[in-house]
Amino acid sequence: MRIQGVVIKHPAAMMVEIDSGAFSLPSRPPPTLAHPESVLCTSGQRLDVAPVPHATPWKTGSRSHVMLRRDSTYRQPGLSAEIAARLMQAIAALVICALACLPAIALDIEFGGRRIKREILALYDGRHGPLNETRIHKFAEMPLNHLGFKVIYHDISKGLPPIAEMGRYRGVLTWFLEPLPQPDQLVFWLDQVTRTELSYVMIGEVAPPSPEALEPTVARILARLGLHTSGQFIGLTHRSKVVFADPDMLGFERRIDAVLPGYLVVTAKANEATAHLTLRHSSPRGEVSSDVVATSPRGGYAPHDFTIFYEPNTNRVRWILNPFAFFKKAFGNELFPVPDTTTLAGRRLYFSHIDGDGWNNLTDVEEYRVQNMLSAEVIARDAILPFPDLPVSVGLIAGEADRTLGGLSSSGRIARLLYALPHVEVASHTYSHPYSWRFFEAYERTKELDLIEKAARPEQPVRERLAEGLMRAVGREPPPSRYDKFFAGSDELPRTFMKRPFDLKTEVAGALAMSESFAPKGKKAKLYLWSGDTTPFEGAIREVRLAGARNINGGDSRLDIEYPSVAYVPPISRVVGSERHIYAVNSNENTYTNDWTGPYYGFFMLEHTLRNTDAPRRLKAFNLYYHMYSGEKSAALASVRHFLAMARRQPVIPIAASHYTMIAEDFFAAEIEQVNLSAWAVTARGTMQTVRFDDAEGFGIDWAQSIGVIGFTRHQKALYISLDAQVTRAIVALQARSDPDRRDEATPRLVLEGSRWQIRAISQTTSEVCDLIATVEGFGPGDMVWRAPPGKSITATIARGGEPLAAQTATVRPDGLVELRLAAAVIEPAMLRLKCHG
Amino acid sequence: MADVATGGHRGLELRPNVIVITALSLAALVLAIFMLPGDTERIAVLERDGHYRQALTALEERFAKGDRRQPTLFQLFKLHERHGDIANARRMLEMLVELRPNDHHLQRQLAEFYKITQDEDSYVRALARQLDIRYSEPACRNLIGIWRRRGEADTEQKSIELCRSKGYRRTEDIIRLGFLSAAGGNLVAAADILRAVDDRRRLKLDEERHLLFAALVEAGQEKEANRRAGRWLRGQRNDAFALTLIDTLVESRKFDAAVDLAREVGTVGDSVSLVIASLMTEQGQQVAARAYLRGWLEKAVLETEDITTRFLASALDAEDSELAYIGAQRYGLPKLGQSHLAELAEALGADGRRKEFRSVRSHLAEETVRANPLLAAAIEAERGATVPARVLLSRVNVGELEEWRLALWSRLMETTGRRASPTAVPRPGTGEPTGIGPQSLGPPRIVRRTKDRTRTIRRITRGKAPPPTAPLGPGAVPGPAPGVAPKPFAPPSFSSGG
Repeated sequence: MRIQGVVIKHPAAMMVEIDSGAFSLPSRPPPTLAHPESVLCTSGQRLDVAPVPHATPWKTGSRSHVMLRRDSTYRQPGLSAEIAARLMQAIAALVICALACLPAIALDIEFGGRRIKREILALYDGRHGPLNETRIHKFAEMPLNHLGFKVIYHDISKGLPPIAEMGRYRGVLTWFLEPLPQPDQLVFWLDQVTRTELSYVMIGEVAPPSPEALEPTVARILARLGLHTSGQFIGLTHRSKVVFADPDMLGFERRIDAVLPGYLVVTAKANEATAHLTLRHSSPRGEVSSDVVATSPRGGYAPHDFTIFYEPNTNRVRWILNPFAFFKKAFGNELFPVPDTTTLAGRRLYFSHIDGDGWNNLTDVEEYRVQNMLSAEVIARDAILPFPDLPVSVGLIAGEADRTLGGLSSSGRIARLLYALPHVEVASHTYSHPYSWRFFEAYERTKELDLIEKAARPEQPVRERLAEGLMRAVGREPPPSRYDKFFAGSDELPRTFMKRPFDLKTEVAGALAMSESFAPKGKKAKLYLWSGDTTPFEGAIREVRLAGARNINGGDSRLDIEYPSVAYVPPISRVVGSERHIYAVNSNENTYTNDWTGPYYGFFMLEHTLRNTDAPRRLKAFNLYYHMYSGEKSAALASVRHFLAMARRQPVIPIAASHYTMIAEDFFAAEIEQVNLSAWAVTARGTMQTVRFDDAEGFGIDWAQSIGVIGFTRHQKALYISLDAQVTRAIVALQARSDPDRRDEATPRLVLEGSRWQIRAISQTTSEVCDLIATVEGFGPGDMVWRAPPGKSITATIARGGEPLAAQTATVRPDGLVELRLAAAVIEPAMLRLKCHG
Repeated sequence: MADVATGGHRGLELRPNVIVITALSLAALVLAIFMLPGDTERIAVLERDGHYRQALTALEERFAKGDRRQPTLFQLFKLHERHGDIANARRMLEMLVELRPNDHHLQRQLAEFYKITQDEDSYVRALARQLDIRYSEPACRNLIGIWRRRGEADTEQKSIELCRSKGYRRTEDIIRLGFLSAAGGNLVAAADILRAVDDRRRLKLDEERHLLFAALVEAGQEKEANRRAGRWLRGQRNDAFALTLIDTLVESRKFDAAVDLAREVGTVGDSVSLVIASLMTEQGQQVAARAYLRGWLEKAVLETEDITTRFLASALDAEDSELAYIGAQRYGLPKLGQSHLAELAEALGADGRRKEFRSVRSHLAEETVRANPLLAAAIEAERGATVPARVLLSRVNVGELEEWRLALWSRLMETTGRRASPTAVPRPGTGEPTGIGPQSLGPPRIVRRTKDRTRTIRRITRGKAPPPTAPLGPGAVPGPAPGVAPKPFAPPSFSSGG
């Protein structure tokens, strides 16, 4: 038996080398294996190993080794409680079995009791633009987030980070193409860094323009990745051919181009690095082979042109390299529970938010036009009031309601109506609606006045002026004048309402207060929706935080035919100094309707992105994000209603938009510690209550070891595990499934599969495992599916303050699932009791 | 009765008027009926007044009755579009196109509709139909772009060829066609395509020109290749590219053409003309190479390490260590890298130039000497310490020595009183003897430096990725499709808000 293993990088990693005859299980310090242990393969095969008596540990580099032998005497689990307990500690759910004919390859298994490093240091050259315009942010950060990693940016034009601080990182990522200011400094820094256990992943070049003098050092750095380069560059590739392309790594969204890009000749050293793409170049001078894309236990290498393909006619990019597979392998291929921002209580998150743009626009929707109804009223009538089960955050632009700026008092009336609804969250879409946030970082009123004076604006027709005068004469409020020079209808000027000088406090705290003033007493404004270019500066984000609100917007996530790549799906957030700007999860109707110039049915195409970001991997939640001006056009309104109906039909868990931003923030705060080979502690989770294992068909939950696990569900080969918010230190433990193709086995306890409501604080009422109480909270009816012993009946009751709200009894199906639908309003938390009978 | 009679009389009297009035009324009624707005006018009025639902209902009734006229279908399409009824809007537009299959405006509208509604397969078919009816530059560009985005190289190539046959002249795509032809092994076609582009002075990027050059060379048209190269390089001096082209000729063993090109685009004393000496050496013309190098050095300004080291390599290849030393000294021995100094010292040692050897040695770091036992032995032998030299020589792995270093080794063996083993003795007749000077370190070197072919070639083409071809932001992608000029790259900015 020969085995290919998962390589996990960590100073304390231990390595198992397995072949048909002997096993070695080296670690530092050498393991004290007293009993046989079991190594489990995803194929379901279990290999049992035991220590060799009197075996002397030996060292190779920084690693210690000790001989283990294959233990044929090992008994199957379940024969006794003692063995079962031992087995639970020993199961290594980290192994990939390879075919017997493959050569033996090192297999690394994690050590227990250590923090999982999730931080990746991304180096960029800030002279070329801010970090959100870097390739790493645009292309790499989302896949890295999906793998559970946090990207920490460092601008090398301001110096390199101290080597002493590098211990906190899992690895370093660079993606350089343009010449660097001081490539030698970077190369020497990398030379030091790669001496440690840190992974180094390089896309593009090490340090362009790659001076010749640095070649020996660069060669040394590459050698640590298991790569050798002669420095030869093949520029003319018509005589180059693809010899090998790893289908799991290349051709992700687009196959390798028939016209091969130029490439550096690199060779992956046998047993040190894995080549994923090998090219052979033939010329009269002979043949040269190059491993163009490679990974190793120490990192990875991919040239830019073999990573991303840019198509100029359509101006779109596509990944050639599979970023998920590449980064996973290059950064250690370690198995750990990934904090997940897409799922809660086993269901895909749904949230919706509305920017207040167009609030006071007269609608063109036939049914309401005669009544001169405003867009916001139309949205209220058609998209908010009929959907009390779907929460929505409504962001008023304070300027729209501020009469001194040209706003209307009717804005407040509509806001008051909306904010009184229990499923509407109070939010703000700024005060004066900045279009260009950068302009206000170093704001100068004179500059703004200058722009105002220079701006071209249409003359107000005499008829409209007369109408305005007449309205005033009879005591009626005319609509806000779009001809006022202090009002900007487009982003040609820095903001919409410019009558008063910009003031950050007013812009943030003032705007939130304005929204709050229309809300019932005690209902706080919780969310600030960025406007315009949605790239706020650090001070603005800080101001939102200090005002006690969360922030969101931007990102413009698309994954459809028009934007056919995960490159157009943004990461979770954008870091600005010490602050974090959370991106919206989906793009809004503006990008689907050619900047609101039509066709107005374009927003229907959101459906493609919703589908593609759910499969083959769930990258994002379901976010219905639009503007009040959708109430202006029938087609746009129809598209919004279409997605509201879809959200009602689909198995989602509706939450408020501010709740999502908290989950997003907590993705970065969560800490994971491996407690043994198959169990992890997840702490500092805040509101992030789902962890995920990808490609986990071979694993199930080990209930005996797990703590604070409410349930699990499977989606696209991934295992989503729901955690109990009440349990501070949740333990997630895995065990192997005997048959990954079969349905998960029924458990004697009640285990959540999925719920429309949030569930927490689960406790057993009696010694019976099939009897629990929990706190529930959510929107709409309580659709939920539980796993329970087949054949039993389950009684579910909902109560608040001892007052019963709803009850239902249902029978567990033969597949061990029971579906419940509890008709109770639990926007305020209530108590759920589930009890088995029979 | 009288009343009756009178009344009757009056009635009779009015009869003509009544008839006239009645007739007029009837006529007016008939006229009015004829003047009443018809269905079409009524629908237009409804639309004008914003009663779209009523207009739609009326049109649907007409449609249900079998009305398939163009205005009906078009109005239905617009109204369905207005209400966001994409399926019905599509049906109407498709019926319209069926009705007027040769209307290219309609075809374009249908293609646009498919694009917006993200039905890419239908979009591609509609673009192709659009091209069948009438050539359209945007349709070609989009069609080619889609195939390229999908990575369907064969279809992309066919699309470019089809469009080209209809008049498509977008340079980037034509160049791409050349690259696709080359990648498919058809260098003749590639040369034809790129030649046509170059004739219009549209071949701008080095890699595009390089492909044309290589294709012409492979087709045996090196004269034409050189003519074009001369034009490119005269217009814009680019030594690295010139050397790349020369190397392409060398690779194809077209040495004369390579020398011609180097002479044409280089001037004595510059980086490009230096390659002539290498080419002479390559062809065994050491004496001529030495003479050329001496002339070259007179005109040269050795400012960079790169050109200096290339000169050193050429001089050493031409077996003129003295000239190499002069060049190194002019550049400044302290500025040279240790590996180059060591190589120079070895050559000087082999040629028995003690004074120059000592001069170079003074700039060698101890670390360099320690790492090179052959050099260390030469130093020891030079100061008369034969025993340590012998010890050092015993550490030399003779089997790994290049032929010309073997000369130094055998000389040192002789000097230190040992004989070189037969396997290590240089093969006779492989070089010309050099004189033994009074300061000689030992017997004369009888082996000329082996032409380090790999090194020569590497020095000409030195592997390095070309820099980005246009000013690029960090998010920009420098056109990975060769032959396609990079454009400002604009993925979603992650930044559109309300």
